[in-house]
Amino acid sequence: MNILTEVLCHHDRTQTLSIEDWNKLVRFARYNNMLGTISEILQPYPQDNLPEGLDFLLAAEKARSDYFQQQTRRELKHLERVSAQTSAQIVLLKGAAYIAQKMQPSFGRRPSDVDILVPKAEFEAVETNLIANGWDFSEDLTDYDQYYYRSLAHELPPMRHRFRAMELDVHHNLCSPISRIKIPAEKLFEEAIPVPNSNLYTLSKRDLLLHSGLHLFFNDELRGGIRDLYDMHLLTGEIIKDREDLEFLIERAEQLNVTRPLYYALKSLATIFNTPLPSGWEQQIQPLGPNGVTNWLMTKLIRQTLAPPTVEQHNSWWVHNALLARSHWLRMPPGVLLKHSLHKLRNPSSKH
Amino acid sequence: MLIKDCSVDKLHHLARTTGITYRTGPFVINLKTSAEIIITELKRVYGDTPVYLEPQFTHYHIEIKPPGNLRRFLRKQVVFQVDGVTPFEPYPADQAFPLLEWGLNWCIASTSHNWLLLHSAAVERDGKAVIFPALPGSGKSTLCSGLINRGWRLLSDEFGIVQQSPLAVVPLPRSIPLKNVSIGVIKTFASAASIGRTYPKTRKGDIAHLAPAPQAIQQQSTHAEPRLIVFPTYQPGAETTITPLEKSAAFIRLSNNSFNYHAIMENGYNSLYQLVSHCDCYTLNYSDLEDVTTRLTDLISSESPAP
Repeated sequence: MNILTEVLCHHDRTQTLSIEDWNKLVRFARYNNMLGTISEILQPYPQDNLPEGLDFLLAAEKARSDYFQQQTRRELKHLERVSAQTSAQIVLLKGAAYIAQKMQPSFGRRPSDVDILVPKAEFEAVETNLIANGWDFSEDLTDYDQYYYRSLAHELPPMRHRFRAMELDVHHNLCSPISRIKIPAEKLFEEAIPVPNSNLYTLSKRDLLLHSGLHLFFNDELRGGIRDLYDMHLLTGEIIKDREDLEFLIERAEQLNVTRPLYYALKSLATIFNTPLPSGWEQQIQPLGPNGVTNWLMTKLIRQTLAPPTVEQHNSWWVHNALLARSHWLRMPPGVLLKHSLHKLRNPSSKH
Repeated sequence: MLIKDCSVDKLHHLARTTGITYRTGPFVINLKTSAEIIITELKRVYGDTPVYLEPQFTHYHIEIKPPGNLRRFLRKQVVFQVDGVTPFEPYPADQAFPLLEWGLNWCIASTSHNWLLLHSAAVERDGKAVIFPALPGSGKSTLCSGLINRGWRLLSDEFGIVQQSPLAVVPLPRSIPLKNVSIGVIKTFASAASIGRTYPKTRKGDIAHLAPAPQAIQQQSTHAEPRLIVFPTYQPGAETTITPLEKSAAFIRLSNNSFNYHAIMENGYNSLYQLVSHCDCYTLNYSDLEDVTTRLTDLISSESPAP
């Protein structure tokens, strides 16, 4: 726990920070890409008692977030044209979804990419449509890269429109087909909700929360993970008001086979953000958790990665490598993991 | 307290413990390093800037330190770290000061989106500021170095920082990197100028760092009213020629010459519009540094006085 988590938990804390607190807060926030969020949090408070020099830093961060949000909305407008030309249902994920639905996690956010989910059956058609509308693959791709993205992961290689800077990632599931978690993708589309005044969709709010948990606890994106957890804190506040709501969420997690990430998410939210949860929640989720040793280890790793006491400890070597190993173990069966490791040994500079 | 009031030992101690907290323009930096050359250069170049021993809000926490690998010991290197992140490849250890200057400029350029940032030099005389946009072949740094050794105040060699309201150029007086031939030119032009050692064979050739005059650092919090925008081109053998430029042409050129014109959207347009409306715009061809500084001094004097 640190000054950043304190402030995110209790916005009023911003009014009692010392200069040293502000310095630590800015460092944590900058490292975790949350300065835009801090700038948003401060909006309702009087601006004249901030330390000298902080005012223009926050104005600069707001300018940055405004720019990225505008670029995202622009990209979505272009995707609407693509959607109109294909029968595929295009479902927005993550940052783009929060922005499209004007949800709280969008405030102060600066997405540099748009993630979409399309039905597997329509995958090729969507790829052809995107290319016809001016998108292209944004990296130079080796044969192994193509194999990695299309066969091992669950997505097209990243794309970018010729005239614009935002990256577009096209998925047909939230989890790779070869990973240990198997999500029935059709269920995601069944519950997808439309974006107002648009032909695009987003995941349902429950599914956005579950996906956020899955993304954080089953991938290796370590840096800035506290931002994902804060998104979950905001979403939980909106979705889970009582015991029934939590039961409903657990049922959905069971349908999608993502109960373990949900378990870690709720435990982390309670520990790091004191997120209000219905009484008896610990008993409700207890069956979803791992055995004692794994539980203990994961708790340590999560806390150390997401909310270490100092910024320097965000880079802790052993934690970073432990989580990297774990995420690969989860996402690849042993045979594939072996092949992938050999590839990396022979090509240390390759991206995958 | 100013940096020049601190002994070398005290600065060393600070740099190795809590860091040296000092001001550069509108920014406050906390610097931790064990590189002694940096302490020497800070005193030479930034002697007149405040150093803060009490807690001060800090914009960038910077460390210049050896990397974690063998290059700590063999053919020594240093890395630049800001707020826990290492954005660049390591530099040879004896280039620690150029790395600090260049790295900090990068931090400022990539984050200061509350202002319009032009890639230009800016100098001031009699309360009036002139902006020199930097284009290849402009000789902007040499021109700027010449002017500040003939009575002009350095606002910035690298950034024309434009505040929209009230319209002003925000000073950021930092060391001016002179490259290759320019080093000799400025040494001849201003024998008393503080240039420091030459770093041979860096990524940009031979480099030396000209220190701003003490008054420029002392006045680093005093904004200046922009009056002229002059697009310079160095042309060997050319006579000094100053030609008026259409404001619309100046606007287009400056929008392409800015670090963040597009990234700050309407504020970029509005700031640039205010700036160009308020200034007379010129192109400048020159080769002789003495002549061009005299001509520019005459030009600024003929502008109406600052309020």
